[in-house]
Amino acid sequence: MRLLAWRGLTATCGLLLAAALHPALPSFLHPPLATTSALALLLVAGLLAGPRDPAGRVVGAGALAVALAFGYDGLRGHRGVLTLEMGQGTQSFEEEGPEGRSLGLRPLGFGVVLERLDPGGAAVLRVGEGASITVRPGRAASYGGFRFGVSSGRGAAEPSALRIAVAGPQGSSVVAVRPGAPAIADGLQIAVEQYFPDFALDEKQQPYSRSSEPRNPAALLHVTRRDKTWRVFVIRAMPGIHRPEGLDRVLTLIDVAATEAVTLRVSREPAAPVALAGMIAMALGLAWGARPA
Amino acid sequence: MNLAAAAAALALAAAAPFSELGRAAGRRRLDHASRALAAAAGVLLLVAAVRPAARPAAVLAFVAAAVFPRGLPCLAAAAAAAVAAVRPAPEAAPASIGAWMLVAALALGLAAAALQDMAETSGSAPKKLAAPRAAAVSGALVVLTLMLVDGGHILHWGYGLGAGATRLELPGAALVLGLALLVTLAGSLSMGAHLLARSPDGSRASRMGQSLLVLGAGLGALGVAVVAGQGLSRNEAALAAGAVDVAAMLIAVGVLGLALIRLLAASPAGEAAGVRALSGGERVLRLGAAAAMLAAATAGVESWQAEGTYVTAALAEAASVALLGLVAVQPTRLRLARTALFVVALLALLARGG
Repeated sequence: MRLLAWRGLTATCGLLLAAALHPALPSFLHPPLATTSALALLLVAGLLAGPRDPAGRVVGAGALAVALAFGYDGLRGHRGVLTLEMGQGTQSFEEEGPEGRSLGLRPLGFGVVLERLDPGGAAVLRVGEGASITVRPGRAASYGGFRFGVSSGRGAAEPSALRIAVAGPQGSSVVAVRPGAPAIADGLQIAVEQYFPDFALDEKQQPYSRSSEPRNPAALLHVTRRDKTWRVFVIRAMPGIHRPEGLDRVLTLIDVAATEAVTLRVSREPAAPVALAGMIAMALGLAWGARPA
Repeated sequence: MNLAAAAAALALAAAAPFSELGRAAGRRRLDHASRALAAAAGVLLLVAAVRPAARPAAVLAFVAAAVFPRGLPCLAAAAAAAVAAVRPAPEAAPASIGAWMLVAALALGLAAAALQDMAETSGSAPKKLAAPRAAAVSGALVVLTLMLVDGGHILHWGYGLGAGATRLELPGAALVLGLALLVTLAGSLSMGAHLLARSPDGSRASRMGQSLLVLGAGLGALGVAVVAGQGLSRNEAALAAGAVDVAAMLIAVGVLGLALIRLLAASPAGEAAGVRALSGGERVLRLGAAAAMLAAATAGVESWQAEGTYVTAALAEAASVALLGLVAVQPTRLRLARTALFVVALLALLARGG
């Protein structure tokens, strides 16, 4: 008990826990979940056992509430993602574990259908018995105990299929090629090796994308015909700029088509209000301790 | 460039030495001028509030006007205002106002004031060595900052703003900043030798270290001015991209400047003359830690509203910094180091968010 009350141990646990939680910590330095949990428990025990004053006890009680809430939501809550194309429906979502591992499909308990995608990125969902909810970037919505939100870093409408024209002696054809899904046209298997939505060259003449918006789309294609392969660079602004030796076809990037799909974060965190109350209690306890003696 | 934010940055940069000079010379008028400058800068930053970095800068400026000592909070506010001056508002309005960043700025202002107070009043070294020690540590901070900005290019006598095709190389500024690094390093080492040897006041190492640090601070300030001037005249977009680096150099050089004012002051007359308005860095630090905890709670609420879950990078970072605040207030050893870590983490939090 005396060891737990030693403030040096509390400070060390807090420091290590702060480092473990910080998103800037390289992934190979991230401790296992068990270590992080043990540090949190030690910190809470130290905060409860150490202080003799009421303000310190409030901080300790708040820390205990936060730890219990996070633990409960970790064990009994659910978090995952749900990708829907226009008109598609589902009754489950892909659940993710605490470290982002896929845990498989978890039933929602009701049906969800993507009714439409608005230009501003809002997704209108038909849920349950015909109710309708709208999920906007930066504004999540609730239904049936779950929260649905557009994840930051994932736009509502995701790209992209590249429409490639293949011109040869027999005429020309157009094929849609999606990243990770090669397509076949005019005897050629075409795959996307690298995609640049807003193509530019840096000072070392290396290609990069200035933004994620398809303002100047370009791609490096991997083209295969029987045992021969070519790497073909296509850019919408300069059709047919690259004609590799031995390839008797001209490949041109016509356009980039956005797929009408949305990826949502799905969460059930019943102990979130307790976590919030605990954090506010900790803040109040710290401020209370600042009053003049 | 936003003129209101630029004027606020200049006012805050002037308010910091005014505050220190007021304390050193025991003149309340200088201290009141510093407070007025900080408050005026806060109002100017409200005019520029459409820019994301201007809002936390305004909070910092108002905190700087209220707390004491205010040198370090003024510098943090000046750096944030400089970023606001050169970084344009985003084309699309953000979904949330980012209230947690404002609370984090409040925490930074309080914690910075507490750190400055503790640096001047705590420590096991004799009181007469406190000012040389602060100067040596501040010099080391300048050296470290110059080594880290722009990916360490200054170590190869290069400096530029931005990256990729829009990168703007500034060879003249690189020369000045490189010299500032070398001179400040020599000054810090010389001052460190004086401290380690516990040589008497006015020893050769002390005099040399003091001179070199003054020269280093001057070169550093000149380097920052050259970077800002050339960036504004040649490529404002590149300056916006490298704004955080410029802000970091501004804070580091400013901290060295404040330490030198204290070192060069003959005696701490300010305290005797009653300039000290608020005592107890410990209490201010606890308020800063409370604000950091509140910022984490606000980040959780905003994440839950925006993304449907509180398990986001914003909450993780805010909670990490709040834990450092909790660590800083523990009554145990290395209090100054823990407080400094808390302040640096808050600065990094605001830099990443802004």
